[in-house]
Amino acid sequence: MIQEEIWEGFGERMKMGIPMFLFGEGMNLGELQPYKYNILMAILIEVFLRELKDDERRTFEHLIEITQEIIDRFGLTAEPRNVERIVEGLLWSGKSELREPFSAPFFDPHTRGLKQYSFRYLKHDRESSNLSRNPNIVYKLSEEAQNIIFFTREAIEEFSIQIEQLYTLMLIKKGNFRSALNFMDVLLTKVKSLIQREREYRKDLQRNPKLLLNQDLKMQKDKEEEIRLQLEDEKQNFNKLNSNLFERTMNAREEDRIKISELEHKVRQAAKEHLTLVNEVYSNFAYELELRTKNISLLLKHKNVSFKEDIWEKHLLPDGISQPQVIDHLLSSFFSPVQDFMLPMEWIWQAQETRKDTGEEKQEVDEPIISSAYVRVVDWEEISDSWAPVFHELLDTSSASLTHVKLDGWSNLAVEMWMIFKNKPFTVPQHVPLNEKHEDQRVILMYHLFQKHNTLLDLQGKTIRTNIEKDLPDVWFGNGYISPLKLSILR
Amino acid sequence: MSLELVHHVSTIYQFLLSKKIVDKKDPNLRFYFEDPEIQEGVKVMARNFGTAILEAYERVHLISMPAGSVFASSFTQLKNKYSKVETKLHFYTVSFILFVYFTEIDSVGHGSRSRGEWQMEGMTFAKIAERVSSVLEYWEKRLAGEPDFSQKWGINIEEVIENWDNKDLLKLDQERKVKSTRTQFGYIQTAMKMLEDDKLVKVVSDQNLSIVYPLDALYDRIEFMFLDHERYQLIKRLIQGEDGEYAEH
Repeated sequence: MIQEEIWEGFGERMKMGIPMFLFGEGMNLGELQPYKYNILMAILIEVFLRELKDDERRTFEHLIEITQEIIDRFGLTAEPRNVERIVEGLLWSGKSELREPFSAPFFDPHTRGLKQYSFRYLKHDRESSNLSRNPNIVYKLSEEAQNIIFFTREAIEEFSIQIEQLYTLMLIKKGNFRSALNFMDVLLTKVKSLIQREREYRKDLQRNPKLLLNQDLKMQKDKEEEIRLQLEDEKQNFNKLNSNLFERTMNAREEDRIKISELEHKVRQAAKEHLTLVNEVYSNFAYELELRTKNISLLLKHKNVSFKEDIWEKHLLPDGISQPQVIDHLLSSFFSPVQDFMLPMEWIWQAQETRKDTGEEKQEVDEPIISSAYVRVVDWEEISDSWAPVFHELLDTSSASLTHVKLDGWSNLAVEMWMIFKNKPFTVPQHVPLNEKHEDQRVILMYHLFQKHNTLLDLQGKTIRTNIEKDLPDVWFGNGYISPLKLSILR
Repeated sequence: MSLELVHHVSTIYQFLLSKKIVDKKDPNLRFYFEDPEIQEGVKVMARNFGTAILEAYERVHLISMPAGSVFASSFTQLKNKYSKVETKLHFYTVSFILFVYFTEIDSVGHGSRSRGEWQMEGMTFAKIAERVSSVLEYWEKRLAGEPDFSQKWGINIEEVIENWDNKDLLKLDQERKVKSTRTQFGYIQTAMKMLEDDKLVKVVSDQNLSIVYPLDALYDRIEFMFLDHERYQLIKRLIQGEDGEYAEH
């Protein structure tokens, strides 16, 4: 069943999306085909910026020039006919003589029918065309094309706040408050993400002061100056926005007043966040200075040896492992010591000897166990591997149910341990003796578990009880059925 | 040395031993950072037990030293498990997997993904297997093409390569989280489990796809491992074929 909510605003959504989906559709550009979207996007942004700067050079001829320059910049070559095709394909759908708009159907939940949506990417800019000395049509971005730029704006960090402020100003002047509001939201988001970036840079610097070394001192000073000026400009722009809004309130229509006051609120918010940004930036400047002057030793003392570059790429990969100790030295320090039982030294050695003497010739870990009536060779490793997750669950949740266990892969002996637990309650001893011939096999199981799983040491001293879970069916383990048992411990 | 000093030193060491990775701001480490004598004492105690203190940016680690440690570690347990001549290749295989993994996620260098990216996206077992295969392939080619390349090896690398090549990547009916030497995934699981037990990575299984996410603590160890100049020099000498101070055991 589809949820009804998906249809809320569905028509508007599609109207936003269709221009993006159709972007560049239908163009056949020969060798330029793979680069189509890059070229189109670049053209759109260039036209957009020219609009913002009141640059009227946005006629068909100019679009061709722009396109050619973009293609050159990409290092590509193109037939003049293909360059024309790009511009024509951006302006009109289908044959260029017909100058048709783009269109696609969309579902309108209000009428519950499919409607046709038509739009263009570039429109006739009447204002600029009248003012321009050029007799040809001057183009500007349609709202749909602007949306494409705005949707993809989030990815660009370098897109300065200034342009957004200028554009918002322009929108306010034209009385387009709805768009201005949208703009302010994005501006706010942008400022916040820049703040985040400064804070992360600060953290990176603290971790690795050597980052500073990568930057040329003179270049950095210039950059600092530039940034200070930029921040001042941005502060001024917020003031401009405020005063413009104030003016507009005077002559505003009733329905616009609400939007205007919303705008004022957002501008105040953004200006406040911007101040925070300014603080972060300046404090980072100060910190960098501090690093350079006071902690110059931090920057110079340790040559940063990298595992990847200095060990692997320089030595291991080209020269191989010259002796086994190399592996020990490189890997052992990646791991922490494991706190064994507090056992006397001789007992530790005894354990080693005992294991060697059983003469188990195991090639692969999961070879099947030869079961016999007289169990002489028990693969405790395999059994403890099977049981480990059960005990982890027991430790985490105070109970472990047989029904949670996938028994395929368990040896018969491992399964049989369940029944041994059922026999009577089992208290895990504080110090597990090493004698593997201990009568209670559960003690031996715990000993082997503790060797590999230190977290299970928390089980020491706990009493494990086993019951049958009523109302559950028996569990099949490949060789027979077993009651649905459950281990539990009291906390 | 005063009794109080001894008490503080051993308390702190015991604490580090049980936690292994501790935030620098942890109150239990207060004396370690405030009193240089205590700090020195803890370091000496660590050394005596064949361990070492690793101070990273935000955390303190207790790690094992290559030789003469009273304690076991995931690494020594691996080594002991595959200590016989016939099984050593399993030990080497798992070791190589660890090397390859560390190299992949080491975020230094041009074009490598940042730590953040690795921590967000993780690395699948399949990818790890692919990287291991390509390293082994590279060595195999050189062994075939360069007559004296084989001399450089102090371990039976040919056996390791052949064993890896002959193993299936995985067995469909096998539970993914099983450590084994039956499949390539089994080896990788062994390696990753070691790291996970030491709280250096997180392994997530999703729809039979196992993905490894490196944790901050792993980067601490990769970055600080060689900050000790002496140790770096020792390792370099070892790698270049000169005798190490420690005998193999």
